[in-house]
Amino acid sequence: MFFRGKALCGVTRVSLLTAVSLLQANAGGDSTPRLTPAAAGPYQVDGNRILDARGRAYLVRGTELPTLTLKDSDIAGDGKEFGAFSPSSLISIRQRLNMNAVRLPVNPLEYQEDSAYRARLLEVVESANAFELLVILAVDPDGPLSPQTLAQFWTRCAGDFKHHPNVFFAVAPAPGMRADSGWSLWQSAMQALVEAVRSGGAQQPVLLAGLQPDGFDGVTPSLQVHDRNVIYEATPRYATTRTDADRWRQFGSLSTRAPVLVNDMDPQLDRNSAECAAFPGDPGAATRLVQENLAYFDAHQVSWVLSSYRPGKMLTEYRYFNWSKLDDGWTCGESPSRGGIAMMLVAHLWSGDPHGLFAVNHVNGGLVLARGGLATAYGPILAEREVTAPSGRPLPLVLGNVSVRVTDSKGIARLARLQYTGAGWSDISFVVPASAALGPAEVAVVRSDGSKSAARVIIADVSPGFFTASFDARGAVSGEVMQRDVGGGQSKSFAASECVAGHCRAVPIPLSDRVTTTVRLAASGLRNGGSHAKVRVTVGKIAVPVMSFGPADDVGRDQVTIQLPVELRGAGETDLTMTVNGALSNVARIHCGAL
Amino acid sequence: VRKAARIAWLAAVAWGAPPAYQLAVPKGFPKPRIPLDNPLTADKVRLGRYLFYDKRLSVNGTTSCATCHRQELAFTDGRAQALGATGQTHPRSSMCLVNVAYAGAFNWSNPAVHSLEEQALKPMFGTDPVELGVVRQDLLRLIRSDPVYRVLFPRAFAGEANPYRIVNVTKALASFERTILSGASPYDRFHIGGDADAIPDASRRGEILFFLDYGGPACFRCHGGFNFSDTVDYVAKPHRTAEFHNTGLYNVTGALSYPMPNLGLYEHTKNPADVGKFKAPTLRNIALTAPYMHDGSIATLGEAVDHYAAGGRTIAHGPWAGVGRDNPAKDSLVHGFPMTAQNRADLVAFLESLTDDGVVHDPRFADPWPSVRK
Repeated sequence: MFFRGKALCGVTRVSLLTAVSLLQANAGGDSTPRLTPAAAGPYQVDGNRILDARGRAYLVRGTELPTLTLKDSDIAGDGKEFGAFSPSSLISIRQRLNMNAVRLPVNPLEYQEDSAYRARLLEVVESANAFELLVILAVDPDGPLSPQTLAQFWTRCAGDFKHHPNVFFAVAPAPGMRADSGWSLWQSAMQALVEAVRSGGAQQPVLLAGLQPDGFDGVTPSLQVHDRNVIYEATPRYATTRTDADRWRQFGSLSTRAPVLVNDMDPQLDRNSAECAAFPGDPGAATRLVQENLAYFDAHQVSWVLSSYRPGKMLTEYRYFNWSKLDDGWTCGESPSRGGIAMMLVAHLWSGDPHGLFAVNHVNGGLVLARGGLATAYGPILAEREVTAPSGRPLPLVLGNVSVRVTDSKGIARLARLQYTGAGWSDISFVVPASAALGPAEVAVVRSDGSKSAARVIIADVSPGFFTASFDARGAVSGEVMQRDVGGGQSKSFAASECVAGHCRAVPIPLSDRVTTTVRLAASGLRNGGSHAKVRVTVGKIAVPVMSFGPADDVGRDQVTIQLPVELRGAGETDLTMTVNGALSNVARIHCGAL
Repeated sequence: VRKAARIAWLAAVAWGAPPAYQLAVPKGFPKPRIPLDNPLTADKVRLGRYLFYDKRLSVNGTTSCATCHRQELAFTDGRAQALGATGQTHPRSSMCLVNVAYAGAFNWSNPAVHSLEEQALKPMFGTDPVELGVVRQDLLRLIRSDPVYRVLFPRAFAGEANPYRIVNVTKALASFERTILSGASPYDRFHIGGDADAIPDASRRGEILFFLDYGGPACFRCHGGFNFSDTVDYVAKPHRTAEFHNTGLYNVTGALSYPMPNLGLYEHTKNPADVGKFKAPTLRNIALTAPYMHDGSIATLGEAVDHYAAGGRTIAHGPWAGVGRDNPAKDSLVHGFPMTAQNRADLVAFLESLTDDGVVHDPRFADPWPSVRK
């Protein structure tokens, strides 16, 4: 266990180098897993590339959020589900989808008229940025707007966000002007919108939507908008985008001389739409079409923001973030639909097989596993029965008829200690070998019949996360609360969360200036951060004192003990986050009450 | 017996042990349990194959083992209920003989038969119903007099003073049946062989459903393991397990919820909780073994999937009307599950990927008599 003092706040060189190496751009096209690069503006366009603050090529890999609203539940949740803009949702986009951007539509009229709406936008943007996500501000496509109103909105919005380097502006309502408008009109309209942004003082990249339905087919260099920092945004349709020739015509050709971002490409299975009708009806054919698109984007260095992060599109609900897939089939217009392309995007960004094994950090659900930390593999475990390792003995290397083999970046294979295996298509929990080398690795479930299923991961020194009461890395945090009278009198302890009939909740922690409150939080993935690790824990927006951190046992469990300051009194159930040497944890919930 | 054993020992010493049969155990399969008193030899397997296909074993020369166990149908007969040599209908469907070497039970619901040798006596000599209707003396006369058998029996049971015995008939039949192994289906090539293209996308989706627990179909709970059956036996297994399940196929009115005479395990235990419990057969080559269930009352794989998705079969009219889902003895593993048309097709595609074309075309398992008659 490492006790933290004032002098122990540095970032270790090794950890920093590791972090940098993990953040290289994902060019795709091979089976090596990579984190998509975290948002690191300010950005500059250079030829057909977008360069971040360090001059590294940056590809946008994101999805669209719902149009921003003022509903409290969209951030705080409604008690059953997390909100669309909640930290739990945003961290899931970053960690579980391995994306690095969100597109956020804004209602321009509301923005102009309502300061609360503007404050909400600022809050969501800063929250997303804190979770390493670039935010592409866009206009709500459903709101009819005059060019003048639009320009005024962008001038104001750009002014408000000119100091946010991880914000882009998608100035034209998607999917773009109709093709019969013509390129000259398009050029003048886009030029006006770019100038509106620039007049607000913002220098970040501006996205310009092409014409519908042909994208940038026919655009010439002379018709491009005159600005150093523009990105061309295509919104291809499945009906007209089936082959590489289609892709080349609509945006591929342009991508050789300017940065291009593909937007949307949701098959709209929840609607009786032309897109759904054009989408291949066979899940296998549909999968191949989406995979061909993704491969093309990688090969041509095309950025993308695909589908939409909401039920019926990327996921089925905001509580468990079950990704949409095509496997169950669909009927166009049938709602609620479970059909969608999320599982394919996950597989692509994880260099995985949508029908294969995925290995994830047990506590934060991400692609990065910590040495000595807990991990879980999901998918074809195919154990014949569930088995939990017996307690009181060293964890076994074989459980049921399966073992887990971790082959590190040096090619050294080690069997992992196993905690639990489910049967069939299920999950298996294991401890990442502490001596595994850093970098890309393979996790393979190996069975007694000689078969195996493998997933690719990244191994790092730290990849922290909190245990939660529901064991799904979300919701009420697992921990022990200790309260002591300030005068050194009575003390009491209780659990920070409880579960009744399968429903877990954060237990209110009554804060007062008469008691000192510490919480020992159950965690994993931080034991190798070093005694000088920089551990930062925030409750709501308040950074709280970290009293100690380190291993809690020898099988992957760690602990972080924090003190809850009295200023959190009455804050209610709020978000709990942590970074260790800059690495993000999951977002859990803790309840700060009042005496 | 002592004398016979001594003769056998002397023969083995004098001429060497009979050549053992090299059983081609599929990759990923365990070693099958072979009875100590009936080791596999090439000569016994060969003899067993001739016996298996010999219609003269039946009372009227019309039927052989192969009549109800046809190679092209993965050693089943395509009928809902088997037909005996005398035309009598068997109450149950012919069981698949593929991988029978691994069977933990040899009948649909009888836990008391412990070996293939023992089991072979039932179709030969059983009278209720008559299957082959073998007359003991006729059979002995045949194997003593037939020129083929006069060569094969002494070789298969070298050293025995009298190899022409019923017990040797069953040993030879059992030996042949143990060699009918199947583990080279497209799914095996995908799962064991690592050939990602061995099965279509639909089968891969179906595989997930098949193995999906926690509210999913969880078919593997009864049809799991290397042989897709929970009633298996092999060398390293600590003890033989014979599982029987009531799948909610019926729920007829009356004291016993299944139609007579197919009462399942109850027929042997007389425990009402065992009504309707039958063995979960291997799903290997299942696409070839329609119709399905112990009585062949389900015609297609799709309908079988429907049955399990519904958590039991509902029969609206007739003497067997009833809601099988509510059968009091139904196994809780048959819980039903939500299923789309796509899921159904994918599950069927997965089951079809378990078909091993090799075993149904393997000349080692084919009728040997045509070549003799030439």
